[in-house]
Amino acid sequence: MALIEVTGLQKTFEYTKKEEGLKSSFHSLFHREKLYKEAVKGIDFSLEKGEMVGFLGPNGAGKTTTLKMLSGILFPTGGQATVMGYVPWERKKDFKMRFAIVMGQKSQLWWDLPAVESFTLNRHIYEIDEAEYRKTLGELTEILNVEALMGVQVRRLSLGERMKMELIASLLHKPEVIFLDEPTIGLDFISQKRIREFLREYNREKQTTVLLTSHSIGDIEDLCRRTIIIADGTIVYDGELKKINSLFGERKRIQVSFETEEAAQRDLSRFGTVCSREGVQVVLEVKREDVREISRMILETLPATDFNISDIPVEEGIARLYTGRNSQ
Amino acid sequence: MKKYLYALSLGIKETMAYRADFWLGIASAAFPIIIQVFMWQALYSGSGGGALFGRSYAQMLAYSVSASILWRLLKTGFEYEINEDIKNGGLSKYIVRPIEYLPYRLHCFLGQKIGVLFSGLMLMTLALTGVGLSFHVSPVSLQGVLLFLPTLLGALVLNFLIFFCVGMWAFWLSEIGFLFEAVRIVIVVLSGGIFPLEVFGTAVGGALKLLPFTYAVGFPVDVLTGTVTGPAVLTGLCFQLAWIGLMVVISRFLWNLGSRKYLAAGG
Amino acid sequence: MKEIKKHLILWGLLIHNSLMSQLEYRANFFTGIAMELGYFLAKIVYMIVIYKTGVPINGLTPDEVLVFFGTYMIATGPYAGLYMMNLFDVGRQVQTGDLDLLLVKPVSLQFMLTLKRSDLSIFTVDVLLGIAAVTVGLVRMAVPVGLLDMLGYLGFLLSGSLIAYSMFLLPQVLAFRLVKTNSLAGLVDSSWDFNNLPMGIYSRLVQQIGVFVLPIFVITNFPALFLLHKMEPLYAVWGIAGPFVWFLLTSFLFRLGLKHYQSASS
Repeated sequence: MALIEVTGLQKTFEYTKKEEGLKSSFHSLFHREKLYKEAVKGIDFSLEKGEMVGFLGPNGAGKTTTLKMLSGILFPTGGQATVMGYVPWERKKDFKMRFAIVMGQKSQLWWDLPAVESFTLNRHIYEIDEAEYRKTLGELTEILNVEALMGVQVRRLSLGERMKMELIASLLHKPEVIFLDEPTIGLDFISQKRIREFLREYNREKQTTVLLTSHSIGDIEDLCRRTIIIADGTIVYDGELKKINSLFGERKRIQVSFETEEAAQRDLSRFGTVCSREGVQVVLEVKREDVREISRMILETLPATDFNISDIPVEEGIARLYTGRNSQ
Repeated sequence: MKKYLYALSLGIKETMAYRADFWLGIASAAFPIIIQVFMWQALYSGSGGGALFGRSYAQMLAYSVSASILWRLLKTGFEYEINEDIKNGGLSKYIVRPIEYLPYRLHCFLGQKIGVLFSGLMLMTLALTGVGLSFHVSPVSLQGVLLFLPTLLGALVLNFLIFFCVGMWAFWLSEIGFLFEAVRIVIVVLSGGIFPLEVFGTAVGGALKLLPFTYAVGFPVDVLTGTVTGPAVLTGLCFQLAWIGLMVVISRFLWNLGSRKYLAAGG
Repeated sequence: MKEIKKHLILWGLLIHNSLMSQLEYRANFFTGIAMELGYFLAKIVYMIVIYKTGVPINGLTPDEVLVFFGTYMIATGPYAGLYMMNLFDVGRQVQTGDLDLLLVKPVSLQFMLTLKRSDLSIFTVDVLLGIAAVTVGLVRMAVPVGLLDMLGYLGFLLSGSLIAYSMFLLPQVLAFRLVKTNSLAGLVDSSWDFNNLPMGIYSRLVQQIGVFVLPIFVITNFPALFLLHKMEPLYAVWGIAGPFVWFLLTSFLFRLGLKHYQSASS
């Protein structure tokens, strides 16, 4: 059985409609119109032990909601899920002892105190014995290179340093499953890179199962072999990120540069779909099997100065998934 | 003058937004009033119904109710805004622009209070009627009400000036913390906002009446409930006016001193 | 038992962390004490009035009233210093989703939510002032206080605090139903001052309601009644049983309310 098993999981939020003005405020005292928002519309997936899977999707797609259900913060409206055999929203103590969730936009650290005070608190919360705690803390601070910052109040740390401390606080009890919600949000490039390196190493070394949400494709390209893409509450893709474009048929791009802008303006639709036209540069999209033939034709019939064949970028494939499969 | 009128209207608009807060503040006055009413009932029945601290039972109840509502009605909050202005450099625009800070704040404050004054006074009337009916006493006279109005206006201005001076402290203190709150609660006690100053004894109570605070709450309430009548009202009004004058001078002095320090520090 | 020990250790750490955080902001620390002293002044004037009047207040001498007042101050220590500010923060934490990271911890959520922050300075100031007031009252009356009196007094103080904690947590449970409770909090807080004076000043009906329905008087009147040997047997029973009834009830409703938790959006 898989370590994380999700079937038909759904979450519908209920909220009341609010209108402006005193009159409607009074009105809402007695009569409230209930509205529903389906955040997650019945999703299925499973994770094996040691896997590191990326959860990609635009804002409001349901990534965080799913993660919150898997960590027991939210009750689902329907469907099932088990994590290490536990039903998360039963909030069993044993379950809580064995996983961790890190949210990029929420902190569990005491703002005005050095991070180590929050670590000590977690040591007691997770019932970690002293020697074990020292050892784990030593390791983590060394890998993340934050030994010198242990005595500094959290509010004085940079965003990247703070995220490192959040990670340490969440890993002290050696969780077997880690949920990461936007762990690199707001970080500069270097910090993002460091955090990613750390996560990759940690996952490899400890065989921890990691489910990571992000809207940064970089995070996921870098870390996860497998990516689950969620859009508007449903899973639209589950597999290797690199192969995402196979969804849209096997297509390639040909980029041609001409000598003059006039030359670039001519009608090229007989070769393939024109994706963009900028100055002397034109990008065409063609079927994979036609690439050879069309390239030859272009080079023979047109005054091309530069020529380049490439795959469709992953970002565009994802963007198409986000906007819905139907538009293809 | 027009720009100050604008400040006045701004204050009124703001009150509309903070009205809920205001009413809740007033509602939370209900509990202390109930406690005091029961206490006075026990004390007056224990003392055989005679006057206590120079007040009849009816006058005392009227005092408790009116004072509790009045100090909440006049309560300021702009000292925090002054602190913000000083700390965040928002003051610079008042120093540069041809608008003076004190009149600006005063008009904002008055605007704010005009918005709630009417409803606050209605509530006070209601509460006093309630006390009158349930304890079979007649708490106020028409004469008291008429004389109360000018003293109320004075109290409004005086209260503003007192807390404007308190707000000026922000020029010299790097952090305010809960200081304004600590000062406010002491001033409420000293102004007779909880009990008439007579409860402190003739000596201390008399001395406290020389301070400005009582003219911001206790004195108007005494006029309303008929404890202070006849020429004493006039004397009180003179004291009130004198304190207003003096506080204007002190405010100006503190402002000049403070803004000079502010400018020297680079604004 | 092990869980209780764990939570007690955690409480110690939380208090330690709160104190450390507080000391980071010196101005707040000292002006906070000043504010507490100001509030004390506003409350002690009631005692001044009673002493100046010099008449017994529904059968209680001013010295006895002082014992009640001092007990009220002592109970205000834990109320204002240990749990009240947390209770009033529950609504905010529910609405902003700050609860999320507490929910995943292997520790009682109610514990973390209601005892996280504390203010030892307020606690100490109130308790010391209260002890002083009670002592003055007892000495002036020349009442001998035995060990048993002390223990019983302490016991009723503890059970009073437990009932207060439960009672003041109750309205916050509404926060889970996405009701804004911060406005309610101010109102509920002012009801604390009903204990400022002995419950003897109220009518019999009000007393019964305040003891058995909304047990506001159990909090500080009971310890004082016990110390002055004026406690009715029925009150003593309720003083011991009531807190448990209320605590269990509130904890149950808290857990029920938690099911409605919707976290913050996204």
